[in-house]
Amino acid sequence: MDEASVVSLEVERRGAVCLVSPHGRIGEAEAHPFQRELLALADQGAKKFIVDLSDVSFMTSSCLGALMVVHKRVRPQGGYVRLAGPQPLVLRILEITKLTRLFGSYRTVREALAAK
Amino acid sequence: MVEKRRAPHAKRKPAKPAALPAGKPGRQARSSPASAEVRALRADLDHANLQIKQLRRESDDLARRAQDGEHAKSTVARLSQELQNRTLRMEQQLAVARQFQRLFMPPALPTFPQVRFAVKYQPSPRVGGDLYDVCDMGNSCVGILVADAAGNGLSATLITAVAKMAFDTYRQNEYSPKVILEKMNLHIVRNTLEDQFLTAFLGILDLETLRLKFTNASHTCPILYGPKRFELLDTEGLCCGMFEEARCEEKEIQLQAGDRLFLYTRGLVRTCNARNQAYPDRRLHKLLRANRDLEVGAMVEQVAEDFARHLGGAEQAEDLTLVGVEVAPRETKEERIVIPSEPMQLSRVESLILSRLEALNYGERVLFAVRLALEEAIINAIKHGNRMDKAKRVTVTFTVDRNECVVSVEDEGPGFDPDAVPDPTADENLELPHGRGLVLMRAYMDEVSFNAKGNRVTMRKKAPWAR
Repeated sequence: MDEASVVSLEVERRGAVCLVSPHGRIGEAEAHPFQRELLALADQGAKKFIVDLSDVSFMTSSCLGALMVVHKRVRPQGGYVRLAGPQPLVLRILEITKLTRLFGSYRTVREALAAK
Repeated sequence: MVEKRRAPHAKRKPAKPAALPAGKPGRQARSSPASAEVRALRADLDHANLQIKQLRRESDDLARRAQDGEHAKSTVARLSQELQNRTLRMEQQLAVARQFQRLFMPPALPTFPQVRFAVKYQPSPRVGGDLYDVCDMGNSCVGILVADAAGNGLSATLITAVAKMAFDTYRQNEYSPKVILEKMNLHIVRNTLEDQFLTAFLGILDLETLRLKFTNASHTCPILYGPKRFELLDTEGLCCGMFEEARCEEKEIQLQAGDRLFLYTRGLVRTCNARNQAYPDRRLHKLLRANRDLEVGAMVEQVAEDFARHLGGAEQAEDLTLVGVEVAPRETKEERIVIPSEPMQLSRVESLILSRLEALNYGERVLFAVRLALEEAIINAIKHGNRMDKAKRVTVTFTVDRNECVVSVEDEGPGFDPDAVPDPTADENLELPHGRGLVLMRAYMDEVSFNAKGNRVTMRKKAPWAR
């Protein structure tokens, strides 16, 4: 694992929800640091994650795996991982792997926040 | 401080003074035994005085020398500080030289459909004077320059700077390497010191006729090799920057599809390892011949790696510059690239294959699909096939043409049964953290198949217009 890889992302708290906005690609190199960042937030008590994918141009199964790890961590605590605004090519990945059902995928961040 | 010393024994033992006759007063007759004793005593006293004076002189001397010693110590301290400062300044100058060095190299190599280039440039910590350039000369010609300045440090950097500027100037609208190098020679002679010069090889390749004109000014001979040939390219010509009147020779040779050119600088063949051996030509030639199907970038990497193995831990005293050129075959040829089992190596393969797709205008959707499938396949090979063992390799072979792109990824592991992998999209498997790679590969590529052993996957993607 290469510790030097970094995924560029912003984190914003909206009440009880942690809004995470990564940028660019989340492939093999970026998935591990991405997972670490989210788990660190979970350590600090965050349970409800909305991942804004509007600026993510590419992802691989490693990214899905990372999201899965976080999902399994917060779900038992009543939390969730929701995906918002995926680009068409990325949305297709989520649909093919049927993860839109598991995570919940929304067209916008607002819809993701508003959902129950 | 000098300790007072006891008087050393005198050379002449003093005669024992005779006892004075008891009761008699001091005044003696000259020749009486008593006066002789007094004389003897006086002589001894004088002698002792002399010795004391001598001792005093010696002690003063020692004191002075001690003082000098202190002085000497402080001089040594001062000089060593001076040396440290100068070394620091020299390091700083070298750092500046290194930065300049980077400026002279082209930021990217130009791409042409008929010819592919790759370069491995490894500057020495001592700052050598290598220079290379691959440039579009216009009129369907590409210029290939490899040069090596004498010495190292700032001096070499200065020569390189002058040479680079001269090359950029004189190659404008000029297609004869002889003319360009002769003008460069004059310029360098006139703008550098007597002992400053550089070796150079300049080739100008006509991309339409595939004829290569070249001049070699005392540079290590590039190797031209192909299915039917193996030769060293040499011409008459002295180093650039030695003599004003120097003339050089120009030759011309016909290249064919599939031919390769390997250019390099002295650093490759002159640096010695701990056993005082230089990298042998035989070894280089064998390596080049054995890897003709290796993608040209991978080939250059391989030479660099073999050289590093030969060097062991010895210092790379000179710059290392390796330039690979491949004349693309007209028919589609399968290319091969081999990487160690490190996820970071993925980007190399990705950019290579995707650049081929881009060059043929395959479009964003196909590029996305191939990028995804490739990444999944390679990560699977590294993580599952090779179990992250860095000693194990992943071999990627590919062809890209106007009809389709075919990529194979092979690992050195025991293989697996792709049909035995649980479907990650089934409800009960949705929460598994792994296993989606295959699903994505199959969804995004037109065809995915495995060899019998299960350690090699082949994927095909048709061009958008061929669907």
